[in-house]
Amino acid sequence: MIHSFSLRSTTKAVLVLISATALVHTVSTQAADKAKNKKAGTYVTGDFHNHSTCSDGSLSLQKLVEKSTDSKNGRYNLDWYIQTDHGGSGTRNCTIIEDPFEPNTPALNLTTVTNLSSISASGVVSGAFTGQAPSTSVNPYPSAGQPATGNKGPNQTWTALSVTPKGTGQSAGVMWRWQNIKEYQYKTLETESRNRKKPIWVGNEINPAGHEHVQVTVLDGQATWPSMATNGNADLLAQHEYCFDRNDRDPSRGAENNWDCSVTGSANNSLIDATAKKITGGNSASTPNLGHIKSAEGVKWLKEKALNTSFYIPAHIERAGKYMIENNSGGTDIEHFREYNNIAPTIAFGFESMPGHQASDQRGEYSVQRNNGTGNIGSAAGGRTYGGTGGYAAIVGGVWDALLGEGRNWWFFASSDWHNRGIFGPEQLESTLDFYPGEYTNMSVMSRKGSDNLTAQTVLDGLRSGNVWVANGGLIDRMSFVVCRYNPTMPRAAFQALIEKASLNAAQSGKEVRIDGCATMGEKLKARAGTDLLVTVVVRNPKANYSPYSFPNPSLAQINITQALNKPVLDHVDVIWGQVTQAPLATQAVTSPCVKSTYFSCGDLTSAAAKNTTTIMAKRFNSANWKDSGSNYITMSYKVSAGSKSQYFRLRGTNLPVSTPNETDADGNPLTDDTSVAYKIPCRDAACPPHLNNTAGVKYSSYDVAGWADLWFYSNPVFVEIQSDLKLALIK
Amino acid sequence: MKETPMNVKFFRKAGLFASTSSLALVVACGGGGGSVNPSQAVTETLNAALAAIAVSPANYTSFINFLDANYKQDGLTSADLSAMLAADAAALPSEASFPSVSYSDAIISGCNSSSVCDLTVTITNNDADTVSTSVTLKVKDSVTGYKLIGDGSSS
Repeated sequence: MIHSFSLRSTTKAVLVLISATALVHTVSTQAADKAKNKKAGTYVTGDFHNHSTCSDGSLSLQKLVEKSTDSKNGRYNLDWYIQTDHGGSGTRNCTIIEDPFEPNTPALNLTTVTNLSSISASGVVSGAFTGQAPSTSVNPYPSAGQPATGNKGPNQTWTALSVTPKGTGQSAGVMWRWQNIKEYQYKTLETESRNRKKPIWVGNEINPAGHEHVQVTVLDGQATWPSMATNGNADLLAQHEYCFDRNDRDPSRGAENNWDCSVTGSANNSLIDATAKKITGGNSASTPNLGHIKSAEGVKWLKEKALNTSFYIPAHIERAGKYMIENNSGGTDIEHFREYNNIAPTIAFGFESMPGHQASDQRGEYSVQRNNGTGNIGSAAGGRTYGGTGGYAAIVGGVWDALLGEGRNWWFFASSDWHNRGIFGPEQLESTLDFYPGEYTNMSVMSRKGSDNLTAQTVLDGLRSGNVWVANGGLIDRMSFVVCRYNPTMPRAAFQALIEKASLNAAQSGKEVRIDGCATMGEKLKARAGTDLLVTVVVRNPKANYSPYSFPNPSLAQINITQALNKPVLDHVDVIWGQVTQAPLATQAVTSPCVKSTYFSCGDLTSAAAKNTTTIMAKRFNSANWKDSGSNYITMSYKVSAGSKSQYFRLRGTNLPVSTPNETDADGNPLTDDTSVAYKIPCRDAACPPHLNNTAGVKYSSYDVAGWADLWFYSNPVFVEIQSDLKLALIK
Repeated sequence: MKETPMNVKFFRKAGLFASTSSLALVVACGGGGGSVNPSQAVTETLNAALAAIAVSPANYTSFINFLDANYKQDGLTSADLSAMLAADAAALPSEASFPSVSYSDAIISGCNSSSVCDLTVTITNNDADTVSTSVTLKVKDSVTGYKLIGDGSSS
């Protein structure tokens, strides 16, 4: 059921929204906690964005959880895991696990199969694939989502298993996601969590009206391990999906649930359809911006229902390009991040600017002139990824720095966005699309759990704190990053030695520095103008990763460096510095150089509203000025004057030297990843795999090889608030 | 510089001035023989000064008084440090504005003809997770007791 709106009514709604959100939600300024009040924490690795056969992934819930969190060989042993499938609807029963794959030992160069139906009846492929035309793929073996014995595998439909989907407005046999989450996904994941003794829970990749995708978690009700409560549920998450996913067109109010999607006191409740009890429209020519209004209502709803137990993190934020006010195919501009953060800073506190699909020929699935599936063709913001990270965060002084330049708690996140391995099967080590969660992209989150078991709430709290860093391809696996005020009563060298030792201790134990007068990622150090600061970083470069390739890195081979892909060496670390130039902006129309329309329209990548021109690469560490602390640990620190302005420091690092052709520029910035359209970096080693792009008999670095060759890590920022300058409204 | 054990002069001087100046060294008495350990006295005096700063940044006078008039290290003189501490106290009077430390396991050795000695000491921060490192400072034995003199470095 579609509720129609006149332009006039939508405009009124816009004005209501502007006036409502112009009152920025200010939060009292918090410095870094006193060290003695900080509960001991540990960095824990996990992933919040991956797909199973509940939507368009290739593996069942159980198989994907096993691959991500199990510790045996060929699994990736993540500490925590959130299963998110697309909102909307689906036909497959994803709760039934596959038969074991044969062979089940991950390997390279498994037998090539060109005709799926010819695979023997050993249980690998049958049922749904029988009669399928011969495949032209290289190695579809074994097939993902294979039916299990008795044809009850995850590719089986709900209908085949006599499950009757609820709700209305959908074809027979199609289950709305809300029902899947509420009645199937939750229980399966609760069981997995308890069996594996890890926080594993259900989230949702919502299709927000007006934008592309957002990762949503609502912990309320979920009795994830270590809870053993018997009444666990994901009802609130399911309701959010019903209410705010643009592809959930069910008008039934969730059948017997009788859901109502209104937000207490919201003027936009007037837009709610009387039958469905939700806003049913989206961005269109007749209802411009209605979709975004609906999405903002979704954030308000979370604030009302789950203030400290939910998050709303826009995903692969550059991929869909600019925001489009008259359709739902566009992306998310900076003003939307500001607006979400203003509405609910404990819920909307960051974005996924390092996307998944890192083995794709169009890395991250970012491209120019991308058809996003709705017939609207637009380019990713920034065109493509830059060393695997989107332009919003990868471009120094860009969107992320603009947000940090307002002193916002707006953090950098990453995911694997697992769907499948492209032309390869799930136990094959090659990939032309995705890496498994934990295989390539690792996000480390500070969990202040003390000596207690890790919980979903402490993971969520850690994400919200910004004490998070991300590394691809095992470039680093430990980090300590602090900014400290010099102690005037101590000789500088002695002070530096003490902080460096504390940092090394922290990195070695997977923890953080807890010293008064120091602040780490997501925290704020208070200082007077002109004082001296010590920036200290310790990382471990394990020189080993999960890459199946031991041949030399083709990117480095261009500059005569021989370095195995599975033994990456950190080349340098950059300290990026920016000034906090203004308090958090209210959500209000920006007028110059506005070119798109009458609404918030100046926030895309190229606009002045999306830049922080103070941002610089302030310091570079490499083997010439860092210290080898043994056992692959590296220590680096430097003194800098705090100056007179509030500011922030953040880090990035890579295995690629400055001016590596086709990879980094003369300043060390990552260049665009465009292996699909420009064969630039030859892969000449005899072991370069056959699936790489090739022309005239020459293979070129592409797909997973290009991903393993071009590695980066990013930290979140440490803020420094100058006592006489702008106050930073950080939250804990 | 050759290591030399503490001589009687050091013990006498430390004890003498402890009673005449609040800034002078506190003398610690060893068990049994009643001997005085000036190394321990130095650390106790330093720790008392630092503890005062930790209570309130404005309480930096004791620390400054523990600096020799010719103190210089990292390009900073006694006057510079005094100004920095005063500025901290004014700007952030209630903040733990910089990491605090305590001193222990001090050994004074290597005194030269100018009565400048090495004070090797363990520096510890135990705000939450204890971390320590050893450092050698320059101290000068003067008529008012030992004082930090710095290494004379310019930066």
